[in-house]
Amino acid sequence: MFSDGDAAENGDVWFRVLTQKDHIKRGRIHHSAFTGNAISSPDPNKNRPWSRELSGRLRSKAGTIKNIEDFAVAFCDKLTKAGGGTKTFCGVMYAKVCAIRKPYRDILTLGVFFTPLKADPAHADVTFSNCIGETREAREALMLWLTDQVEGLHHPGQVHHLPEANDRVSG
Amino acid sequence: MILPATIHSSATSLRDDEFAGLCLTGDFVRHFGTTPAHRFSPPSRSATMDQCPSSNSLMVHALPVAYWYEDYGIGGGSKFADLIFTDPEAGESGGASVFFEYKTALSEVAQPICVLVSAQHHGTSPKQITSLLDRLHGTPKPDPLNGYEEYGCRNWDGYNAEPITEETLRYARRLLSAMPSTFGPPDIAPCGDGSIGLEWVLEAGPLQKLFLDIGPSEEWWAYWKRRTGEIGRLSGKSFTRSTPDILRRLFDDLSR
Repeated sequence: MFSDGDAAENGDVWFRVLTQKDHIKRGRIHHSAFTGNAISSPDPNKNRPWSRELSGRLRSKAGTIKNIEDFAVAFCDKLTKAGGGTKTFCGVMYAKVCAIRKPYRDILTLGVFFTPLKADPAHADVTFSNCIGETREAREALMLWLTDQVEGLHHPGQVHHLPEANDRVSG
Repeated sequence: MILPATIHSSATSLRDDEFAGLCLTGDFVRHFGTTPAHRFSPPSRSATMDQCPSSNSLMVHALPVAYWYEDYGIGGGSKFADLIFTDPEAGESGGASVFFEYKTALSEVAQPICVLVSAQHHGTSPKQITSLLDRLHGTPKPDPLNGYEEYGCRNWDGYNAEPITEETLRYARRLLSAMPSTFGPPDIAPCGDGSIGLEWVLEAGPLQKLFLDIGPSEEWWAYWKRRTGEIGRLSGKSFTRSTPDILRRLFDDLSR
């Protein structure tokens, strides 16, 4: 039974809803998708053992592709109502947990942890342990690397290619 | 009867730098607006582009954007007359905020038509204006940042993104107009920190990927990874006469 803060299984797939169509280019994720507050500090009240996180969801907890798409559309509707213009579900970035759980240049370790929320029981974060350098140079180097670790799928038309967790067939 | 011919452009109610942006990106070709209710006060006439007084040229950041001249031929036997006015109350820089072409055929009641700027007689042919701007600035390109104004508000992505300011947008358009085509057009996307991200990811050659972030404000940062794994970076501020050369040298270096 998974609990909040547990590491995701290696066979699982982490994915993140994208609201900007240009953040996916020919199956690649544009580095802009990682800028701003995308990679942020964890909630200090949760005492997480990582220093930064990129929020997303776990494929194994998110249900069918239709469930995933419906959730993403509702998520964007909710964001739109919160202000700042219309948000549209444009696709997902994703990575297999086993592929993204790796060290970066011996200074940073990436992980994927299950961090369910009331609004999203499938919520999970890609986490960055140790430290991300605060310099612009360090962030730039991370961007050059990180963009190779994830892939992108457009919506509509491609999200059904999102891999299953453990290669199980989605219901 | 000669009709007031092809109307193909307009540049109304724009600040000079925005106008320049449209000129440089070719957006003028796609926009047409109706004539606003302005009072016109024609500037002094000149005969050819070479004789254009400086007040009849639009300079933006020391870059010549357009020239124009006038011919008061209406009713004087000319079939056509191109009168290109600026609104004297429109602002600085030679009143470059609003341009009009006043065109008529003898058999018709004169009617004002919004167009861009022409340096030629009967200059309503798109070829004439295009060739002028081509000569000045190279072939116009569609604005790759068309629609980016919508990112001018906070949280445009739902993930608490910073707004992309007008200043950043203007600067990005300016920088993009000088971007070398060595690696083809970049993939462009808005960044959550209020900048605009350009990237080139190449299938072959010594360069694997080049990212170039523009803004916030008038700064840019380029960083890249060669196929050897070597990482490099370069940054710049504002747009000076040397900026195009700096970019060209960077792209040349990365292509080797």
